[in-house]
Amino acid sequence: MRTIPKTMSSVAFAPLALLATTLLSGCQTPLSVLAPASPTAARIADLSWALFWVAVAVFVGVEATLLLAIFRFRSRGNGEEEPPQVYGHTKLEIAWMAAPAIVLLGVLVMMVDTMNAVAEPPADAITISVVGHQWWWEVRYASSDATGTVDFVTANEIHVPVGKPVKVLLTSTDVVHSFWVPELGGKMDMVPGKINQTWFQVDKPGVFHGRCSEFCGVEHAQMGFLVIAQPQPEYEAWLRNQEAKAVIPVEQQAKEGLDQFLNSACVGCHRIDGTRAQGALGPDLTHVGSRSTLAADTIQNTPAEMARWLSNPQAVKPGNKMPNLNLSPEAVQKLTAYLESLK
Amino acid sequence: MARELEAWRFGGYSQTGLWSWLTTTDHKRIGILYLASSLGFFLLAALTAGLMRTQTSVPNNNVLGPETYNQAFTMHGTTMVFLVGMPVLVGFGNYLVPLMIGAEDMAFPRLNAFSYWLFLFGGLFLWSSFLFGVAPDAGWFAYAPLTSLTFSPGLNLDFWVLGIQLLGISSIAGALNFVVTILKLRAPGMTINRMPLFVWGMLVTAFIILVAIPSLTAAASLLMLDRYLGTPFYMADQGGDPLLWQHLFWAFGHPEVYILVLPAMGIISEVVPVFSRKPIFGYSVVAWSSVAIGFLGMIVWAHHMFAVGLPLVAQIIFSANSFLIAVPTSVKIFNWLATMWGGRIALKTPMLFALGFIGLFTIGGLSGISVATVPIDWQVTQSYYIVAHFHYTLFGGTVFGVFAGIYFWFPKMSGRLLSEKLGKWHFWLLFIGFNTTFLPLHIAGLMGMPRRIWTYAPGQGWEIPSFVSFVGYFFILAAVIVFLVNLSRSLRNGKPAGDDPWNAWTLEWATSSPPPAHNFDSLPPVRSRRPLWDLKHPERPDWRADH
Repeated sequence: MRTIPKTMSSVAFAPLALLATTLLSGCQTPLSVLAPASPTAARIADLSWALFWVAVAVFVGVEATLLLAIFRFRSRGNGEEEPPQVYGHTKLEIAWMAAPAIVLLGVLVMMVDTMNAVAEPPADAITISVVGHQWWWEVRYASSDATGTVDFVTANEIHVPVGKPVKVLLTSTDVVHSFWVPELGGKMDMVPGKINQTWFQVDKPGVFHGRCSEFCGVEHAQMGFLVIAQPQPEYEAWLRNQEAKAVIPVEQQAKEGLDQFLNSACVGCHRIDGTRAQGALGPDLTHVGSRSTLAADTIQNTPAEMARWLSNPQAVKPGNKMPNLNLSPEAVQKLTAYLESLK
Repeated sequence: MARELEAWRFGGYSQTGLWSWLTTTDHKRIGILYLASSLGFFLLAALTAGLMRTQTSVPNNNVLGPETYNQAFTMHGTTMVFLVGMPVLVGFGNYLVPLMIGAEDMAFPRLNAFSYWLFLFGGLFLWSSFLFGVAPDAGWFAYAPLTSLTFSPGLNLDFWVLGIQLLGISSIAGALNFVVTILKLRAPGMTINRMPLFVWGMLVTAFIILVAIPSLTAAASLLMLDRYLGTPFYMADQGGDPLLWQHLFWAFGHPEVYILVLPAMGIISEVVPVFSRKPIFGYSVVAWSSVAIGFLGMIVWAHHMFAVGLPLVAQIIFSANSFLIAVPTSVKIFNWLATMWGGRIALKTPMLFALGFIGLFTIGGLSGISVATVPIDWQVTQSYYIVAHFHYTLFGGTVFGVFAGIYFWFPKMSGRLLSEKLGKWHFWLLFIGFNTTFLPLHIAGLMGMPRRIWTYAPGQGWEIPSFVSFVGYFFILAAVIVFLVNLSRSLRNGKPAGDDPWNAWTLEWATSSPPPAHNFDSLPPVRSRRPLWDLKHPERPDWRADH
């Protein structure tokens, strides 16, 4: 019977091997906290690795002692004498009370050091406001400086300039959400009635994935967003484009799409700057065609996906706040043409 | 005297049959009722876990919709905390505390029965919500304002709030009973400093319950007022504060963790010495570390809130307090290891589970340090890393401890031994299954996988850990089935246990298995922490040893 536990205990190490391989390959996944792309995330990753090795040392020490005790002091059958009865050892106990306290004091010092480094954004940070909604992100750019004034609203996609610190102000209009871009730093909750802030700085161009990380209702799972870091000129071009009013389409189907939009329930919730659609409940669609995803990073923004979404949003992202409008296939086609033209 | 009292107490009532169980005030029967009911709820919670692991086993899965998934994880957490973890430990406490301190029953036997039936009713009430399709769905910590009438208009949260209130009242009544029993009903010679460490664990736990649970019931009452009388306690737009809920909830919620762990640590402190054939190493330090954990556990709640935007200084203080808990916790682990060192270790099933507890809780403790470290918590809080962490403490810890306790005391309760062979299968399947299920979830969390998501897209590094975890679930399920088979077979055909199958030292082993209604025909003298050691070794009793 001894053989059963023995074989099984070797099986028990399989997850460990798996852990190691996944960890190594995992550093390259799109939301990894171990692939930092901002100095804030990098400091936290450094602290995590430091603590990891401390933990490994303690783990090996404790588990090795445990196994050693089992093998060395295992009872070999019946009829043995009771071992010497030892009741304790005050000095030893004081020692192993002090040891973790000293180690943890060291961890505390490293922690405060890291917090000092990442807590406050540099003074020259640009500011972006993000407001959480069930289940999407309203992104507001409002600033004025020597180069001019910016003031527009977009959704689910945050563009930032490379190499510049970015301060993000966070709040929510409904329930508690949490803003998290693992590669760019720790999360910060979006609490109704409270404005929190976080910051990051992206050092090379790229797309970074963020997700809501506080349970916020039915579609918590499908509340993602993108942070797109661009070189300064590209970023400024993007700003200028986003600021502009929506273009009035010239192409026939898109034109019909605009009429369709303005004469349907769409206008109740969505805003398209430059038209009379001024709804404020759903994402601003002024430049929806320029975004790379739809429905808060749930699907790619292609005409086919847009059509699938419009035909029945509840089939794509069940429980979301956009009702199925039972649009005819023709209406869907027209609306798709129009919305995709809003670059 | 005892016999007469028993005759008086049971006068007119039968002592067998269903009616006797429904009307019993015997702490042992109430203990068994608690244990059996929590086993039933454990199976339900295992079912909800299976639903979750199945739905998340592959990306873009559609077995459950988001509504059902959210109900599944809410009920899994609520059930494991309130309907499994607490009552199973209270069940052990009920059964064992009076026996261990040489008392005849709990201080208030009818209040004890009241606590049990209120717990059972509260649990059934919560689960009845599934019959109406409105199971709670806002997570076990039910953050405001998601729980307000605006965002949760259904009856789901009403079931949750009322269920929690009933369970809270039950726990408070039970805790009062434990405090009075332990402080007032100890046998002659059973001083506080001679109590078994499990009793210490229950005493500290009872005090924590008395301090912590009222915060939860108060928070839940305010939520009910918000929902139905229009008060704005948690409504920011009317001058309230959603964070008030979080503070009140975690002021209960973190001490709750120690409510779930301290009695399990108490079980380990009983099992490890007996199967190492040595007294616990450093009794006083182990006992007082429970007190320290209980106290510190009450001043760390905001480490659940590092991402809500508290002032940095507050975060550092709550973090430092949390680190401090690691000291008494490590001390316990070191003292258990020192107890084993130089002993004669018998790897019987209760000991295997106790060793599993020590090994796995160590991992949960270490990942606990990482999440108590503020900036690391900013990254991993609310991710699968947290799910992995607390399962290592509450499953690797509490559940393994509970199984150690079941294999250890089942012979006392039933008069029969559980099968060692099935017990070893149970242990190894559970050990492998547990690690296969929860080790990969650390990785998923570090890869940015938020907890409580019903679906996810491929290509984010979450598929492998999720699928491995799904496979692990079936090992756990197999382990549970082996356990149930063992339980039902051994109840009927198990080897007779005798009074003292493990050659143990505490008072419960001095009476028959199962004990008579009045517990002891005659109580051995209590002159040390191990009265039965003294009886068995009159040549070198503990009370003569210098300690």
